[in-house]
Amino acid sequence: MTDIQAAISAAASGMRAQTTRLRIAAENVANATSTADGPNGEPFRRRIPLLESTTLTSGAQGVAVKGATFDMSAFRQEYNPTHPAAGPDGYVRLPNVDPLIEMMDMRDASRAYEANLNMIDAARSMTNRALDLLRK
Amino acid sequence: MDLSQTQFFGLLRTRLNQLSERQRLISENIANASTPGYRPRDLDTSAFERALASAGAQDTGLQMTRTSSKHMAPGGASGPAGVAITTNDDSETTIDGNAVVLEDQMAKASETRMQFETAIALYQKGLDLLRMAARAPGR
Repeated sequence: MTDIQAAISAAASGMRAQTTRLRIAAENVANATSTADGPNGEPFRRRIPLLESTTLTSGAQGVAVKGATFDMSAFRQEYNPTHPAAGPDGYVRLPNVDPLIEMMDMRDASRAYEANLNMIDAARSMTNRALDLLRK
Repeated sequence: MDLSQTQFFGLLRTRLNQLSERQRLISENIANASTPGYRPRDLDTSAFERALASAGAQDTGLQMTRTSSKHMAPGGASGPAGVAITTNDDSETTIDGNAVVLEDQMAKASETRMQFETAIALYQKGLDLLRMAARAPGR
């Protein structure tokens, strides 16, 4: 029975991690056009969640979000000389967020979340079947 | 009477333990479906086949002699029947080194669930037989 409990705790840790991943993707999309307030500032920089395999208190090999790092790729540029954040050449630096990539990440996260949920469901039904032995 | 010492129930108990451990491993794999460098783990399924073979060998009338208390009991009813955990990659490995494919794992999970339910049903059947034997004749 402890194995089933460990299975549930591993799946729960996966759901937590995928939720965090989804949150970071949502933050990236929300800030996809957040520019700096002046020519010297930096626009919003895309963040990437870092997932790490970890041993839970139940002994299961779960997963946890270790943190988030910044995506150091180049910013997008747009010619808009009247913008307050425009540099001397008239270009505004925009965040390095690609909505397509974020969408893919979101889909991946929600798919993994669903899979974890299914595992909890399976573990629960297995426990119920074992408990049925007592009822009859 | 210790039910777990009878061959039928002992075998089923080992089976149920193995299946729930396998379910735990699959759950771990799915939880780590987006962890870079993670490689899925699974039970060495041949372990159960071996346990089954050693349990079946009992029926020939010849018993294995236990010369040391560390030896496994014939029938594989006591102690873990050589549960080995192996690492085997699924059909695809992503660029970040993660070899978990959700579809493969879900298929394994439902397979394990089905086998678990089969074992439970057999256990139930065994209990029903015991009850039938315990019932007073003619009732």
